[in-house]
Amino acid sequence: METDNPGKPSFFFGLMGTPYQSDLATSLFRMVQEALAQGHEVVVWTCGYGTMLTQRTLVRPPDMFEDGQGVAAHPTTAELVQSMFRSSRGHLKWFVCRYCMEERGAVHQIEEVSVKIPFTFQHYLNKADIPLVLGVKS
Amino acid sequence: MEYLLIETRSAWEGGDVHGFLELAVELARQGNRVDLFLLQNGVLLARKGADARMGDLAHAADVSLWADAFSLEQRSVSAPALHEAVRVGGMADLIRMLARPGCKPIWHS
Repeated sequence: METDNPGKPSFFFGLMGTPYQSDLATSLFRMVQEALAQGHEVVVWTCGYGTMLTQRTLVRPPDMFEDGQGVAAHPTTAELVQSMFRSSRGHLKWFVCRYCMEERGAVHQIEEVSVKIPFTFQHYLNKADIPLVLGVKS
Repeated sequence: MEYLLIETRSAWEGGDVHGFLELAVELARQGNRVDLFLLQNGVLLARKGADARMGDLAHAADVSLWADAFSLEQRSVSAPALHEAVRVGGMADLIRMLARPGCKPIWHS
């Protein structure tokens, strides 16, 4: 992968598993944030239900544990991804599998991500120095 | 060879968790460097007496055992409950291990 961080290996994180079935999405966000903080280039590829993390139509349900009137106090996953883009200094790319996205009707994506045809998965996987695929597609 | 095995599941979530620990034991037995990083529900394996294979790994040469601090805290597992050989770390440690030249990572979920 082309990088302005010579000597720093690049990461590819493929999110295959259903993100809300476990702490998978949390682990992905934590790894991406830390890899960026350590100066690595990071590519994220989401498949399956992972494509729903970056929908601009996400609505956070009211948080009844918060003081006040149950107003949603925390960001959506899409807003978290946007905040990572803002602090990434251009070192983050986030790709969404078109087939998985359309199959689930998750077609309203935030503009920071790129929608890719499934066959390019291997291209980006091979380009990265450290590829890691998380979970099994479901 | 250097292997970084990342376990995200507890032993109650399927028999393949035991298989993954067996893989770690076997890789170590064959003389490889093995780092086992326990994450998410996987940190439950870090508790004393949770799994005999953790004891085998603790006594093997060139093996390090890690448990993610955030996952431990989420599950209310405190340091005294952990196997003596387990080091508590975080994402900074995991990313540094992943970025090590020649490291072969395997994610299990």
